[in-house]
Amino acid sequence: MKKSVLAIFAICAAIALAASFAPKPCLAQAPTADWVAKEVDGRYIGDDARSEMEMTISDGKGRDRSRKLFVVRKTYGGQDKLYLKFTYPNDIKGTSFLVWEHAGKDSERFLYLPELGRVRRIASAEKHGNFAGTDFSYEDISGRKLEDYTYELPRADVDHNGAQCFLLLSKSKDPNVAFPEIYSLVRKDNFVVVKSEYYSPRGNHEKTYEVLALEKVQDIWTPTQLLMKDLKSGGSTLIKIAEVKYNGGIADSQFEKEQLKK
Amino acid sequence: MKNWPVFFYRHRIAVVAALVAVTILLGTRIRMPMDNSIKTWFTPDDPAYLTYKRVCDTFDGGRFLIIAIEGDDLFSPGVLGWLKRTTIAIEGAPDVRKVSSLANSNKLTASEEGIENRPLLANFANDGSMVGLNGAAEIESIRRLALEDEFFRNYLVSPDGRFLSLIVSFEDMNVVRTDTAYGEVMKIAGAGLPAGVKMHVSGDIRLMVRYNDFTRENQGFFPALIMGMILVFSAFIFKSASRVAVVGTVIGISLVLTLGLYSWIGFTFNVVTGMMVPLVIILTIADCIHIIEYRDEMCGFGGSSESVFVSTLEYVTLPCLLTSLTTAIGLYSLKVSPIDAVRNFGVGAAAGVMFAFVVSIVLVPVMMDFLSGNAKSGEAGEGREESADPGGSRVSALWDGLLLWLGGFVVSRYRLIIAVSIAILAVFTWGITMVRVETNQIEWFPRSDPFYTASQTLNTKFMGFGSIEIIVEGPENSIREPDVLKKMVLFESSLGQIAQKDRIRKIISLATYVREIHKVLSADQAEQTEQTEQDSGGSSKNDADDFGIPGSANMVSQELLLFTMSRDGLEELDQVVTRDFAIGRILVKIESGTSRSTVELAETVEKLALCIFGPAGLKVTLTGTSYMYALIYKYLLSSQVQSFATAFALVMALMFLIYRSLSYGLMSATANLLPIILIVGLMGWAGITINVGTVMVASVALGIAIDDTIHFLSRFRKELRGGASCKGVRETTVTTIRKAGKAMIFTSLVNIAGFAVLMMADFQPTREFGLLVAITLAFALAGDLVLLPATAVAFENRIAPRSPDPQDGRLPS
Repeated sequence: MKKSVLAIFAICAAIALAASFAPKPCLAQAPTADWVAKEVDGRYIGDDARSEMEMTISDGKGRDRSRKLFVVRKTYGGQDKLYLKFTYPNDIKGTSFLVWEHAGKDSERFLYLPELGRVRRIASAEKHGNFAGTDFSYEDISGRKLEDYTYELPRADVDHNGAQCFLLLSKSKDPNVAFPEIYSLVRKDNFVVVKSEYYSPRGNHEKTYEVLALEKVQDIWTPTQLLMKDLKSGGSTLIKIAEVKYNGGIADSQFEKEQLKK
Repeated sequence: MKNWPVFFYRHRIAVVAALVAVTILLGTRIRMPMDNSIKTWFTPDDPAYLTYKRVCDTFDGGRFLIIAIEGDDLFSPGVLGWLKRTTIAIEGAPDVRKVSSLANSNKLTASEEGIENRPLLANFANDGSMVGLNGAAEIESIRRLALEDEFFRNYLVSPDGRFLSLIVSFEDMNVVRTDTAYGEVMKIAGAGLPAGVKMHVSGDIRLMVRYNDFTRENQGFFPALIMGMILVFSAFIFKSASRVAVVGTVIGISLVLTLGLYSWIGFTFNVVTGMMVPLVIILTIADCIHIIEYRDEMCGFGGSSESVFVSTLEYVTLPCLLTSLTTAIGLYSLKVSPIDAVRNFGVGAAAGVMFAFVVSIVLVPVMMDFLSGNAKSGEAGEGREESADPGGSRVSALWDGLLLWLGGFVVSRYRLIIAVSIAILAVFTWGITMVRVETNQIEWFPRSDPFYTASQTLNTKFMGFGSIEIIVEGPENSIREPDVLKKMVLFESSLGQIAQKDRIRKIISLATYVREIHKVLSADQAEQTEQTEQDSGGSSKNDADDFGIPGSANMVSQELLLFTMSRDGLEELDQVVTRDFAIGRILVKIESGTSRSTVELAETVEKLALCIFGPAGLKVTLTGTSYMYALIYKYLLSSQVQSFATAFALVMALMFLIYRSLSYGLMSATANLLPIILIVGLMGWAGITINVGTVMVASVALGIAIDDTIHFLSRFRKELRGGASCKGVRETTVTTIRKAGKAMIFTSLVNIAGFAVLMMADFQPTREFGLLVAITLAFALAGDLVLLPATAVAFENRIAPRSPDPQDGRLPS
């Protein structure tokens, strides 16, 4: 079962989970939570994609830092490979990051710090770590596994900025995760998750994810502005995605370790 | 308006109705908001407080709780499981912003597998159970990693491994939420604490919660106790339930007016201002006693209800106004203090005293008149003046005899009294030179208080209780520059060479993180380089020097980027540097000590910081709890001098103004300066320090003590000038002691007993405030009944009436 929605530009699929395309229920049937989850997870986001990303990381006290990255993704038989390279600011320019997902085991990560001049394997498979020093976690970026959660559909008809949405509740089977409950608004017309609220084990609402802009690129719905707010720290990260190109035929060599240094 | 008592008598119902209306209006304003945070001690515009607040806002500091556990075998599955479970549970508790413990800390390591930034307790589930791997080996590994880590040592784990801590940061909360959040966290922490493990709880939040307890004690227990005591005392001296009711009513209404106005102004209650409530209760009784006593005297002359009412007010209003004014001045003089709690206490209590005066003047005569009327119309025996009490006559005779003896003694031995007073003055003046200031808050708690024992344990065996924070500011990105980081390392090593270096337990800065990260990467790099050089003869870019800091800002940024990829890495860095790298924070955790030594330490740290960072164009500012309390040390010194000087000058100016006589002014100055000198000298001899409570003693005591002086001198002048027999000074002195002495002794005893109740307080400044004011009032009473009459006799020639008096110079037969 494929699990990664990977996707930087589909972070919306942050809560999205693996999947295969599931048969749509017949019209007479009411949609189920599992069906909605599978639709989200299985939403087509291209076999490969490249884009440029600008991140604004704010501490909530008026002190911001900006970072720019070049991002490439490609799917290999249900598993994704992801390559990121920082292009701004100059102090971290050239720093690059590679993720290889593996079925049934933790993904591998490699980091290249230009000033050190060598590729380092990041041994930890910590899913809850911050993604590149942002308020997004690795899990938010690389997606969650469909079978790690159970689903409920508290409401099937919610209006969000004029779009009809499902309200999907994802409950983690593992009690040790940081956010065992996530409420998501899933657009009915394209199954993009447009908003999510993350709840701690004590039931506190601690993070909010929201898609601020959604565009159709090469006939694929693509969130182009994403915001993650950490309600505890007051910090937030805004990601703007541009120059998105799907299915451009990215070479496999792009995801070799040697590529990190280039 | 000379006939205002007549006007008042004729419109007394309307006047009382107006008073009731105002009482209801202000009564609806009573809110009793409480705030015992650090801002209690600083005015809102104090630059030091503004800096402290800015730093707290920038780095989310200032509201934390330290939960330390102590045991012989803390690195065991049971204890570490508790730590993990408790950390996770507290992280989700209401108003908790962040928890730091070994259970949610990451350890950056380099191994064959690569660079790993993994949770130290990765093999413990959220419920505390251990998952996978060899338990004993894993525990040993955790112990080794924890103890060797520079971050954890003396912060999350003691160097000997006998203490572990959870540092809990809270949101900015009001008092109710603080108490609730603290209670919730302690409930979680106390659940399932492994056997043989002892818990110590300290930190700012714990301190605030204890202060809240003390404040409630000041607002509830002590006022109730003092009120009860005053009512019993009133029953004893008046032997009349209706008079006790009068006293109780006056106190109650005065309190409602005071608290209503205080809340309306927007002041909050804290551990110092809470003392205002018992103070107002105590001070209200004095006017009641004087008015009732004088009214009884007027009743003795017979006359209509109106004539008793009017003549009572004609006599008592001025002395009561003056005594209230002087007391209010003494209290209001505290407004010059730079300590917010002391200022608010002074303003609130001064208002309370003036309310008490107004309420006493309005209600006591009216209620007494009403009750006397009722007594005459059938409830005989209620009013003392209407009852025949042979026992009471015997007591009165005893009083008269005692006071007459005292008068005779003073008049005949006035030179001896003055000489002894001067000798005592000299001894206690020497004591003043030994008075110390102490603002170490731990010392304000009883030795058996859990907060005291926990804080002392942390102080002596673990991370220390206090902190000094050095804020280094420069342009954007300046703090990550290797040169600045090296200065931080230099600063840290320099602190290891100062005189008080043993008090420093932990230093955390951005440099600490950078060095640790770089050490790990360098170790990995060394291995990799060796391999690389063997393979290709390439060179490494690792150019760290003796400081352990990378050679370039870019390398610093990239290493920090790696660190922020861990779960809490970003939040950890947020504690020591802003995200634009413009402001760095160096946290120096210290063992708390005496205020004087902390002031010296803070000055040394500041000089060192300026010397190291100043030349690089960086701005250096000091803050931190220990630094702030060291500032209070300076504030208390100036506060003591300024407030007392202001009170003394104003009160004495008022005395000169009232009596328009240099002799009377000097007499009252002598009688009132003496008890203040005695009490401050006593503090020096007894080792009682100036703190947030005792700093108010001199001004408060002066304002109260002079009341008896005014009553004495008012009666003295009345007797000296008003009597048809034209008595001499000596006879007048004896007569005044006999007539005014009883009320003076009664009011002083009530005041002394009231303040003595505060000696039951757990909070040392409250306890010492009560003790010292009580002693001062005892000194003042002695001064007014002994030294003041003695000086009157000594000034005999200056104050005697001009007309010849054959009796002058001789005692009455």
